[in-house]
Amino acid sequence: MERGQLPDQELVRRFRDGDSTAFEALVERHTATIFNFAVHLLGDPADASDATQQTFIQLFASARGWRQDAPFRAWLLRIARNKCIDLLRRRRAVPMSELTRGEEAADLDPADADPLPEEIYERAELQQAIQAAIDALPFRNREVVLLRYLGGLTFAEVAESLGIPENTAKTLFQRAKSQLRRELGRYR
Amino acid sequence: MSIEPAPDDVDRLFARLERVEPPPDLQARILETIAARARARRRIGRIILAPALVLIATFSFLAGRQLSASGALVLADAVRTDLDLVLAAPVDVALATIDLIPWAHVGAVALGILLLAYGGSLMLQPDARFRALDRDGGWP
Repeated sequence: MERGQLPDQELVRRFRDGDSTAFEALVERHTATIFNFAVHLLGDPADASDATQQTFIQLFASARGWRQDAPFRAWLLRIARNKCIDLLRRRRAVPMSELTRGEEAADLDPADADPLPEEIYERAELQQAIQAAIDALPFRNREVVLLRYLGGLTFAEVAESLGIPENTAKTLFQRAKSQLRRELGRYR
Repeated sequence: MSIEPAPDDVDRLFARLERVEPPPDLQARILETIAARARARRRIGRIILAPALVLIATFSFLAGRQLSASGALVLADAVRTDLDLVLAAPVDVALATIDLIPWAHVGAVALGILLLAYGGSLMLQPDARFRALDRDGGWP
């Protein structure tokens, strides 16, 4: 089987056995997810890059600490979340929402193949509106939403990742959704 | 096992949330940083191991010589052959033992063992030979 097709568990097992290229495959597979989670949580691509880098450095150092029965992606996103919180603590004085406005928001809109100008505008507007709605969420709710939508985690995995009961994760998610529904009413 | 709910309007909206492309060099930076750290740790481990071994060997020898010169070995032999001595005067035996042990040398040996363990743990860190970094002598 190609290395890229191996499940995470197998790659971690190989890495623990001394195969560095298995770690490389994990980096390749999860960088985009971790970066997206971090960029939407932190609102700053440079900080998100830092958080992503710190996440994999920690993974390299502590992969032996991962329990085989725990979902790997949830565990990795938990590390990423902790790294994001570390970064947020360092810049505590700056409100999250201020970091994503203006030219930063343009970074969240990758180009498509020959879209019409109106489409470009609408898409950019939607992306900014979603990001603004995410920023407006209380931090814990934002984490749940991003783990669910960007991390692609189940509620059980979100709960595992945040160290909270599954029903609490569901409740936070529903509460966040109500707020998002209000904020994004005109785009639905 | 929990059942996932059917997608609703907010789910569909978030499905349109576009993925942000990570910087093109991010993976390379991650691997380079990890490889550099692993190399540095191994280097530090190697640097620590040699003095640790010298420390252990030197102070073990000196401690042994001092134990022999101070009469500690005689005391140890007396205790070994006559346990009643310990039972009759346990405090005296303990004080004599404390008095005869070359604590500075023992401390130096203990420090050497700690350094050896630390250096060894650094040396045993996972290797970080990444194929992507080997290609063409490294990432652009």
